Amino acid sequence: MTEAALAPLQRAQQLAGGAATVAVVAAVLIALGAVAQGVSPALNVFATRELTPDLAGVAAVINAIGIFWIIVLPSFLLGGALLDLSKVLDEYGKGQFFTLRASTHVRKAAEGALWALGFKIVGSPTLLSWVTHEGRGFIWHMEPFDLGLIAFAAFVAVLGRVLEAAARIKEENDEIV
Amino acid sequence: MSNVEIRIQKARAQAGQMRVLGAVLIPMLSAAIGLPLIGEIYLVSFEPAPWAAEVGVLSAILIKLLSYAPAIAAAVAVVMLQPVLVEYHEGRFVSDKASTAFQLAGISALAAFFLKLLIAPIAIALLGGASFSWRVEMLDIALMVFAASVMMIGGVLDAAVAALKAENDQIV
Repeated sequence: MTEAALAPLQRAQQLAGGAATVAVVAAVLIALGAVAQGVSPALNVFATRELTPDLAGVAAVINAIGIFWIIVLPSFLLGGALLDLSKVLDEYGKGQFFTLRASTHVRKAAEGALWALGFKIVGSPTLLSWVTHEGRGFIWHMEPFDLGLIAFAAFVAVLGRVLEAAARIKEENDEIV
Repeated sequence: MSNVEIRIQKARAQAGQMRVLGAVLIPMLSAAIGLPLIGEIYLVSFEPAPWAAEVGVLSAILIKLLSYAPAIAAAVAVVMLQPVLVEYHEGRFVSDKASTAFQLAGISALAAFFLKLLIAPIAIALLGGASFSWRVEMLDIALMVFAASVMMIGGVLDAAVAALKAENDQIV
């Protein structure tokens, strides 16, 4: 392979390796940001309810923990998706492009993003309103932009599945050779 | 038929199913974004709210277009992924067209985020709409990193396919 053909690939590999680190840092930051966001509403529960050593006190603690997890869940799911993407970029940085590991993590990352969007748009707002007794029905916080994102993540998830199948085929072929 | 051929057919069938689903979903997505936009443009043109009357019809229409621009860019990203499904359905899993389309889809998704977080709010403020206040949620930043990573994946696959082709051409 000539150097001219190799140079763009090497540059892309280096970028991918760097991007893998950025994805991990972003995942950690989003987790920390989510924890910071979720702590205050959870602590508010103790401001409104007395912490007594009986069932009511236990219920208050469970309530606070529940509220915390409902608020942070979309961000944690997205953090997981970013960690999956970092693994894909890591594989590419090592020059392993059409591997089962890379393809599987593309699929998992997109599916994680879909779950995160699902909780952000309907899951978390609805559960929060039920837990805080603000309402009973389903609550949607969806903008047209979110619709486009959901479609994008869904397509990437399917492409990940097809890439996974193709990577399995390649592995079998390599074994035969 | 060997195991490998069966797997290839299954993978191609999966891509084909998604291709058909995409052909149905993309018009629906366009309608879900486009119809409310058309309705809002009609309202600011013929039954303007006080804010629209204040800034003028043209500015009000531009403000509405800018507020929907991120959603349109996100929909464009979805449309950009269709060629990838076409290539996979044809059995071309390692393909120049597919990796380029992946890259372009990532670029469109990234552009959608820049429009949403920065460009649209600033332009709307300049046109006399809502004043610019930079509200960034961690989730938006993380989704932006997600879109950038998809773009990177497309870019790396593109370079890998080009290198493979160059290697094969040398052998031939």
